[in-house]
Amino acid sequence: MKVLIAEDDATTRLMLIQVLGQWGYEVAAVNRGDEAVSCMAASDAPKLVILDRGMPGLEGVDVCRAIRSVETQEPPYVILLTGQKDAKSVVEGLEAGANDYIAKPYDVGELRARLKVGQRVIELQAALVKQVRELQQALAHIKVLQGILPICMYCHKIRSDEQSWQRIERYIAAHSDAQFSHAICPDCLAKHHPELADEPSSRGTG
Amino acid sequence: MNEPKNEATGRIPVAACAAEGAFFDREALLERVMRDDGLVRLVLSTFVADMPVQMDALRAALASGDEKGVRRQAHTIKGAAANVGAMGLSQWAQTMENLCVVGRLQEVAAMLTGLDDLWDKTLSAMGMGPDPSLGRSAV
Repeated sequence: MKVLIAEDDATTRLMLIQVLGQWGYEVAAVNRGDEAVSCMAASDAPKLVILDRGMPGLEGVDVCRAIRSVETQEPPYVILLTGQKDAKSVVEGLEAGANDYIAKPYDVGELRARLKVGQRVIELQAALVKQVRELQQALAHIKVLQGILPICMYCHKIRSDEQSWQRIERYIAAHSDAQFSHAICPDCLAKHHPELADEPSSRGTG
Repeated sequence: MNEPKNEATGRIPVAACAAEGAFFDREALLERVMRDDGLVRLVLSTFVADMPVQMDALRAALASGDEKGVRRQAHTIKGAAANVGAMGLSQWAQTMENLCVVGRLQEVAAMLTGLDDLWDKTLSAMGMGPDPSLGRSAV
């Protein structure tokens, strides 16, 4: 999974690049807030982001707001990396759109666990988006028959919108994705083919 | 070592840092890079090359009265130092940042000498400065 690291401190950036690389992440790194926003505007932008809170160009919380201002079905998972651990700073970061935060100096186990949480959320989100897309595609192919259909009480033809009468199977085929296979019910078999009515194997064949 | 911590500013005297062995915690850095000695060397060489640039930027911001710039530089030094295990330097920078938040830039400027002193001792503790006798372990 691709991760963006936005961190102005060269040492911390290097450590994160190396450690995340060892964990198998594909890492992109920038050292300014405005560069992070540009990077996230790309069509193949990373879905996982580690943002330093204090950066030149644009502060981490402002980068968060910029990222969240873009409507998307699959928003990135944003982790704020901050040296400010007071509740007010944490609340401000989360309200700006961060999903999580990690305090500096980071604990390597905590960092890995929080990245995995982010990865799970992203994968779950992607699965949901895929399912919704599939459902929408399926719905586009389904024609729904509803309302009151005028039907002849004798021959069971249905009056269409054009004021003509159609055989029921033609009407249903024209107004839905249903298809018909033909068979003979036991009553009709007895009525129309009494000579076959006693042969169970011949009943209900299509 | 006898100098007490200033409760108003949270300053930790340089001598106290030495007493607590807080110039450089190599074990903490090793843990943070998954005990990769090669990566420790790479991280420290980056830190040693970059920190003077950050400290110069702090001095420049102070000289021009750029309060936001001073705060950001102090914040950057604090975070970078903490991540490599240079906790004395990190705490000193945090005090500078705190003072900056309440607009006490003159006091921040007065802490520059202490910052330089801490930097030298941090380098020594890392085995990368002129006085390796202060270090607990060589890199």
